[in-house]
Amino acid sequence: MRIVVCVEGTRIGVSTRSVIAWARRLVGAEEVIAVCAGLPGRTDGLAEALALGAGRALHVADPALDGADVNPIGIAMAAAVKHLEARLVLGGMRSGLEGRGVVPAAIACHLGAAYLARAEALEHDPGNPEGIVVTVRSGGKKRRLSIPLPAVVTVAAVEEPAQATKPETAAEREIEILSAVDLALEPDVLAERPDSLGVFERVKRKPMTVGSADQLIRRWLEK
Amino acid sequence: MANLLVFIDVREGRPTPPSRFAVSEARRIANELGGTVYALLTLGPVEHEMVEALARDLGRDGADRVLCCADVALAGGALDVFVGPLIESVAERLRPLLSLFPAGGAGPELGAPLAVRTGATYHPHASLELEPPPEERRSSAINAPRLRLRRWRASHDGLRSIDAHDLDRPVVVTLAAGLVPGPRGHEDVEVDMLSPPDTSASGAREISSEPDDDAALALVSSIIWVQTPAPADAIEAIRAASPPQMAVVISGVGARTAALEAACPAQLLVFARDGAGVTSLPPVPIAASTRVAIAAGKEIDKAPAPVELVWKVTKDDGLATLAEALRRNPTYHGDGET
Repeated sequence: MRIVVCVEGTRIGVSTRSVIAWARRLVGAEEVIAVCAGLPGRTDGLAEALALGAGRALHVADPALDGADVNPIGIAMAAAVKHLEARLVLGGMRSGLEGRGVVPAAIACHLGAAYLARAEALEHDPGNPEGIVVTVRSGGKKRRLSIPLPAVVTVAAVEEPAQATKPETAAEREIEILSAVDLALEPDVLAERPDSLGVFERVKRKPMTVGSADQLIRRWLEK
Repeated sequence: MANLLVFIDVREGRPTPPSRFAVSEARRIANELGGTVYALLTLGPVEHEMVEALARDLGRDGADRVLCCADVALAGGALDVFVGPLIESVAERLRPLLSLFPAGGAGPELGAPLAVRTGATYHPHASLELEPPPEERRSSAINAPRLRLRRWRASHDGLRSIDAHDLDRPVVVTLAAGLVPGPRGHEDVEVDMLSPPDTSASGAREISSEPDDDAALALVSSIIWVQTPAPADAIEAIRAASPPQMAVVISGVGARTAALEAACPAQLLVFARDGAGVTSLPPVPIAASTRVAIAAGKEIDKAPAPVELVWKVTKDDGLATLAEALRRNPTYHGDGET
């Protein structure tokens, strides 16, 4: 089974590092492909993913994806997943920068795949080669579910993420690059929509220093 | 304002406290801006009496109407593969301007895909702030407050802020686990029973399930995060002093990450013996409204931006002192009760 791991364009976060380790454990490094979509040249995250043990790295690079909203990113990533003939997509719960955790859901939507968040374990499904067994927590229960492929699953990061060892061959591996045209995506599909992130407000404040534990508790818990 | 839709997470026959808080938040917004608050229940097969009891709870918290779908296909928990098609169909029918998901895991599981499918903006761990209208409109007929949604970026270097009136699309938010401020509505609320969706196309099925020992952690309104090493007796003391809606989490002990990822406390307190170590916050999502405090044993040079309160601990028994303070000071439990 081939697994696509969603990777940030710049420095990858703790969550994604854990996902690469998970994917390698499940199928071995050669079947793990790190993929990101964005502006041409922005491949630091993919290089890092190769160093962390991904077998291949693919960049969907197109100027139209510069500052693109989640929907075009999801479309481009889903097209890449189809191109790679991968059946399982793994992502971190949230990126280290914006941290909305919405890209995996967008990929699932455009791939027509099942979507599950906060998985704690993944196993091959012994009774169904076209499926996977996922353990998640929901509604007060820890549930093992059989999910048909294709599927997009986000993984709950471990508190101390395992540091993948750097394969000696990683430096020799090149990042593959595909454009929107290569993936047969029409330009208007990736057309930019109004920014949905909202306005950025930098916060620089000096916290209030209290003199006692009683003051701390009272102020911390006041309605 | 138009409709507001609140997803309700039900545990042991009752709405979770974060779900009740989400309803009360929707009520607060609807009271100022107008609109109808719909509470959505997705349940396995249940007795009609239980649905009515749930509706009374949600009505008290501020729901105008309760929508309920009870079917064996929905018994597998609040997961997109089971519940997603139903929520999408409800959202298509009601066209809510604001869809709210409570803390506890339903948000990342259900909110993100709903936002994508309906073309909405997804704003997780948001605070809902009502701001006075701009100066030039205060004397005009249209002088309603404006709804602003704020959330921390994961990097905690700043906030993302949305003026809901400026958007050309709906918004899906997840909220912190606040406490219910007391009754905001009436028990007498209409219940619409919905037909179950066809989920057979998803092909997902539950193989087995067991009780989740960490389920309560994802629902608490306050978290005290203790960085180790810390004396065992002091940890025991602060646990004993903590009220039910508060959890004490010891760093590095147990793989509780999935539960913490689902949490979003209204208050987070980090206790560290050495303040120099508090350069970033624990891996717990926080809302813009979350009150973050640090109690640390040495000078804190640079606290992360969300930190509002600092107590510089001068004695070695700081954690025990904190436990005593917690016992001495009354704690708000929600529902107007202290």
